[in-house]
Amino acid sequence: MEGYLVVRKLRKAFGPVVALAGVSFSVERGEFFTLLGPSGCGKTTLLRCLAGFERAEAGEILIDGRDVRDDEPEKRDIGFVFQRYALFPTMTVAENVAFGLEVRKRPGPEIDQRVQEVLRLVGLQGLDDRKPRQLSGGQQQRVALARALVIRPRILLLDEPLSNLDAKLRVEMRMEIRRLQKDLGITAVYVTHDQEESFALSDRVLVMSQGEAQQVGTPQELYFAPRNQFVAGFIGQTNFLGGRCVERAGGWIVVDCLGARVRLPTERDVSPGAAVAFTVRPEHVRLERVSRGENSIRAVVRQVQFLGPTIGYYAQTGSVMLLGEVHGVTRDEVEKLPRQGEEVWCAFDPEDCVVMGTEAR
Amino acid sequence: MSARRWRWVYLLDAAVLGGLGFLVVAPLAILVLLSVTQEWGTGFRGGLTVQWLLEAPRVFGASILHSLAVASVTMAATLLLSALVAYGVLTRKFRGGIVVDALVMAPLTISYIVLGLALILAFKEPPLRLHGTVWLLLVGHLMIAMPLGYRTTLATLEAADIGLVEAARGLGASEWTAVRRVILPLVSPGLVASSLLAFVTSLQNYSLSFMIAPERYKTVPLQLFEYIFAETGSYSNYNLGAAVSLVLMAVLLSALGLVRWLTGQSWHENLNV
Repeated sequence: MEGYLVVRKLRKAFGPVVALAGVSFSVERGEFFTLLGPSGCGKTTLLRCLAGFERAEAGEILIDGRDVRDDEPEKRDIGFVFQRYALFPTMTVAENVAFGLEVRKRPGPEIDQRVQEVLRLVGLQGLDDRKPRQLSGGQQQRVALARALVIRPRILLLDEPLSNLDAKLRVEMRMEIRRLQKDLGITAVYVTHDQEESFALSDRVLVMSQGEAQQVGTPQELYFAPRNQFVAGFIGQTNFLGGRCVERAGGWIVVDCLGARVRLPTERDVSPGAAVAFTVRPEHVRLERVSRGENSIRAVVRQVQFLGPTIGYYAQTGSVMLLGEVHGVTRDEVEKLPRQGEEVWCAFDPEDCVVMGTEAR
Repeated sequence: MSARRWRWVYLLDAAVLGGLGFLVVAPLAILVLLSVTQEWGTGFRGGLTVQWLLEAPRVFGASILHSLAVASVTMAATLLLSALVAYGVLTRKFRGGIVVDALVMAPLTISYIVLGLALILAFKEPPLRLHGTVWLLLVGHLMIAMPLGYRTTLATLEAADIGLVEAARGLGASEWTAVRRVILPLVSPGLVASSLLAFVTSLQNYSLSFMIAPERYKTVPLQLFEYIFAETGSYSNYNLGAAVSLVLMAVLLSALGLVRWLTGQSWHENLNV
């Protein structure tokens, strides 16, 4: 009926600064859940409250139905992976991993066996006797992961664990983390500011801003149906456009936007003359040489960025800069694409537009 | 051009090092010389002797024991208090870290003579009548040892990343276990350094002890002063004074060696503190 981890109206302030302004969400058993947001949005504070490193002033943190908000960290049975690894420098890899089992007073043979098991799992077998400073960043993060996994925590919390690794290793490690999480059926809460990382890893993502939850959903939901401007802007890139409503029919409205008739899907009750804000993603904007009537905005190409798999366009109309993207273009096609200074039509389908807000009557 | 300038730097370096070296080595050499020769002023001509070294423990035995006892207690108390306060300040267990810092450091700014006077005045009446007892001496020495011990401990803990305590607690360790098993091994070289500073601060102190040491509980510096500047006594005995210092130095070095052996540190590691 309810999630395995339930957070209700959690509040936390540092003096006058409100870090969490009543955040609520729920995570299913075995789910990979990510807190995503810019730095200072409260995501790390939230994770630290879950771990017990910070104490929330109000609200509830229920794990398996029991409120643990005021429990000491050592009583919560969670695993925590830190951004800066936080390995114990005086201990070897094996001692680091064994630590959580030793303080749980497990018998020696069991500890040895489980340590070896988990080291094999994260691909670190044979490095038992190394000290953390003798390992690379990626290896250190694997030790940190092994150390958190070996205690078979009820929930695994990860605080930007990949942000100190280089780009290539980061992509490798996130596959690894996802594989482990799925294989072991772990319930994980992951913090990151990297939208791509959050999408690659998560079953569901909670987008946060200024201590508040903005939207929770699967990556697809967040991407295709952002609930507000913040989410639309933070998840990928997007064009924010607006205009006045000129026509309304069942499920559709037409707005006058930058001198073009733009058809938008909406169930909202919009009266003619009202202002409408909407977004359309760059990859849905095509650059064409002829107008198609509706949903074609005339603009001048100001910049072309060749990025390999995609080509990015900045096209200007009046004071508005429209972003467009073309994907998977062959070598011959590249030659035929619009160039800087050329006049084009920025075209997009009504179905790709998301209405963000409408003026109230 | 630049090679010439570098030569100047080398020369200056050598001169400074030589000068400093002489300043340190010369008095030490005289100390050793004095403790093994017959008489002041005659050098080796008077002949070598172990008389002073043998006599030192006999004449100064009581004050050496007093000094070592006071220094040891001061060291232990400083270590414990510094660690507790520094840990508290760093983990923000209580507010007002700056105030604590100022309080601990304050005795450094007061002349020890005046500090001694203040201690006497503060503790000569009940409820805390410590004047004339060894307790006041201990309180005084603790006050002057704390600034050094506390600062060293704080710096050591700061360098050790207190965040590791969270990591350990997240794995199920109590805070005490986390500190004992993770932080302590990491900071023990620094704590040894801090303890040694506290120990020698107490051992060396003259002016504060002069004010507050009980008549029957003389420390080595107090008795040394009497011996060397004896006006009414039989004679000023520099040789014996030197021998006592040498004995104390030997005690200190062996204590240091013992601590290093106990904490399993190499000399090399300690140099890195």
